[in-house]
Amino acid sequence: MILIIGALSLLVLTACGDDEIATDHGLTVVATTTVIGDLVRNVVGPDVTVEVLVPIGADPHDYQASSRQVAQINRASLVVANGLGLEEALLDVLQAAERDGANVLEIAPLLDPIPVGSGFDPHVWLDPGRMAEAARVVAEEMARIDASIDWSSRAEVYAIELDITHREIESILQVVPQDSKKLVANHDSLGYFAAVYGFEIVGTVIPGGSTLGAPSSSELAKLVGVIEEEGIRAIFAETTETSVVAASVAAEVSHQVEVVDLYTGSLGQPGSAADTLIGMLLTNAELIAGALG
Amino acid sequence: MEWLTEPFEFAFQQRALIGGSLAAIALALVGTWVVIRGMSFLGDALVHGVVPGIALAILLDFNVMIGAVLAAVVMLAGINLVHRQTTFSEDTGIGLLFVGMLGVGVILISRTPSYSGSLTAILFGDVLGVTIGDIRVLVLVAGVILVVSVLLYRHFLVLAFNEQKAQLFGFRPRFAQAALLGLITLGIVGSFQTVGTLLVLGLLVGPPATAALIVRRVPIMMVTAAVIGVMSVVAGLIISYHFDTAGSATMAVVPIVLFFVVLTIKNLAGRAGRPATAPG
Repeated sequence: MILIIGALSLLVLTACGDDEIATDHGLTVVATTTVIGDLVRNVVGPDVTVEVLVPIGADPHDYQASSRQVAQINRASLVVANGLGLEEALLDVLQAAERDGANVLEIAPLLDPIPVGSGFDPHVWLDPGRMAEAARVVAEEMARIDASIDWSSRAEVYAIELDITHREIESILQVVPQDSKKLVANHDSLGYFAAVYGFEIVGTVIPGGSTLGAPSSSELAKLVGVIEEEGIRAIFAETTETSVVAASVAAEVSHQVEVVDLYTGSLGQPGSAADTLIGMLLTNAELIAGALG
Repeated sequence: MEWLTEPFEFAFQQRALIGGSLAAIALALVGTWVVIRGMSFLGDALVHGVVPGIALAILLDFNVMIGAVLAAVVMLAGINLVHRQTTFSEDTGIGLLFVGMLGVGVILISRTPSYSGSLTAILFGDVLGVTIGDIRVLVLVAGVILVVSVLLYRHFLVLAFNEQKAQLFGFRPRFAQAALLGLITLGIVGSFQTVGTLLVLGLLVGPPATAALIVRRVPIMMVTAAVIGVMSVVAGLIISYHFDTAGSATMAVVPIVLFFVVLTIKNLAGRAGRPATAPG
């Protein structure tokens, strides 16, 4: 009986639903993470409303959406997601929205991702070159939605900014001697940074690709050994995760090891140096140079 | 009025409403027995205890439902073993198996080398991502639970209120017990993957407990619990839409808040009378 009432009310509701969406003329793009939000804003400029799902400082791996946000996903002209399994807790919702006809663009699979295990590393945004390419991808998709605005010029300008940023990062990192270019990360998030700037990842605190795994004591003991052997001076933790395990690993090592929080999963708070993708990349480079240089 | 109808313009909200309501009905039927017989802790343990089965199913690539049921059987057998072979009360066995199974689950998850398949997404569904396929499964689950609940109603009733006498009456309490555990497992396994762990626990215990505050007879309690459960899903979806709160979690919190509201009203209204107690 309850079902019948439910079904009836659904009919009534769907019947009176559509007008409101029709009055909404402006384009809207929904971005899953703060990083993608900033990228999209740089491509679409003031012509488009950009909504970001995962709040600043939250971990994109385990963020769950509200109904309001899923509605935004369904209404949006375009949804830009990272993909490759980054948005683990949003996967269900994004897949369902796509089946309902939402226009979901996953950027990471299009950016020559680095293989990890049986899949690919989703943390593409720590490479400015790949993000410049992502800007072009978003511009192409926007052109398909509304050809009256020149999205690709904006994307090119942003790509140039990212290229300048890339050179700045290279010069910031010059202070790091070649034999110190070794990283110990909190989770497997620095793969692209390491590949682009010639660093080697010698260990991670959290095993597996996700932030949701937990390390074994033998893995941690091995990590302590590696850090001591290689004379590593810093463990790079993340602003989106607690760094208690990283801190206890650091305390276990016989020499002084710093735990440095990098901006990996999210941009920094507005007003901080890392409140844009470019600011975030430069801040990270400075933090890494400061710790290893 | 539009404030109430606007959230349901979207197909995903309509599927969430239907999927959530089916789960609410299935869980109200088994949850009533859970509340009457004081098995909430077992329910909680089962929700987490099936995690290693599902993780294993994903790692070895077989049906997750089978994995979940296998894990539930292992867990119930373990609890039964502790109960029979020691003098400990049942919750000790449940506690041991709860932690043991969940621990094995986390070990398995930590061994997944990559993002492919995204284990956590499969493990813990989100009611806002319910698909038509999920709804079909839920219809089946709710249907089986409804039929078995009606067929075995007298068995469950005797088991709940006078286990000793059950044998004398010619009922088979062990059969009834096994059937009830099977139904609870089915309700939990069948719905938690599609609507999320939190929502299953909220719907399993919240609505039946609230119903037990206001009505006494078991069938009426079940219907009341189902209505409260469905209302909680509706209210949760509206709140999540307007106040931008996580969907499954909001729906899980609504019946719990409702319980305390009803309890307070009942206590205020019946201050002259006796305090509220759960039957059984």
